[in-house]
Amino acid sequence: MPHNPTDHLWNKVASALRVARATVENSVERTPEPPFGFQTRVIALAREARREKALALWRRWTLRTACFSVVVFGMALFQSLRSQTQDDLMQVPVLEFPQPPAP
Amino acid sequence: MSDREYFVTAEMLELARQGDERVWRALVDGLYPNVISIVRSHLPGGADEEDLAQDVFVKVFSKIEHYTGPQPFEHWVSRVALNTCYDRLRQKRASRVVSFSELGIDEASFLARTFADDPSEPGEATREMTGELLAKLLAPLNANEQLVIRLIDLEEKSATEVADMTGWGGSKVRVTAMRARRKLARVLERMERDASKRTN
Repeated sequence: MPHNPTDHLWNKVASALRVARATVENSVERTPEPPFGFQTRVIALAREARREKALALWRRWTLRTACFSVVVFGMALFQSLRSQTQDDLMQVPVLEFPQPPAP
Repeated sequence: MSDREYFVTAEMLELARQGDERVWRALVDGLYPNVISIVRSHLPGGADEEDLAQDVFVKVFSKIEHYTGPQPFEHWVSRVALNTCYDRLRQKRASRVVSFSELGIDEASFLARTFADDPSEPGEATREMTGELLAKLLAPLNANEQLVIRLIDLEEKSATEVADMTGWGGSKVRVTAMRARRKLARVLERMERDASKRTN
């Protein structure tokens, strides 16, 4: 990648850092090993993360099912009330007035 | 990864997806050197390194079903490690420019010798010192700029490789690198003036 001429200071510093790091890396152990207990912690946290993920999925679908049920129930109730009202309007109520008592 | 064979087989992957603990342990053992190398390159600091490496492996095992190939599994893990470091970098906002006088003795000495092209007495360059110095120099950069500068100028990756690792376009990588270098040039010019005042 072409570098701008004003980057010369950064180029020097980057080059020096690369050399310094390479020197340090060569003097330390080549294949670092995970510290004691690292694998156990990772496994425990990963299992917990998977459990949370499965639970979140279950909660989401339970909520969706519940909402769907409420909607279906609401529609059925509305339809039921609507048809009942229409039946009521079709019938002419027979009014019976009580007879006044004899004088 | 260049020193190690790709050791993850399809059978191991299937068992890992099922949560087989022995395979998980074997994967941690085999992939730890690569993961810690990426973490150390992008976020110096002993305590943070182990926590971040732990986060990387937890993400790998909890999202292992997202890996569908065809790239080797080890490359996918490297990408998860890089993205985890990038997410952590984004949480740290760009901070103010550090002046030369605020550097530690070893850091100032290292930088002064570099400015003067003085190869004599390289001094003690520990991983911690170079890491801290780099963190201070890159502090004014945002997360994108820090990531690109580390990958291109320190790990000597090409723009194409960086684009592939990050999922960005090539032009975004190049423009980000150019902006980062411009900021670094201003920082280092000021530090060079301060360094020469001290020696004169």
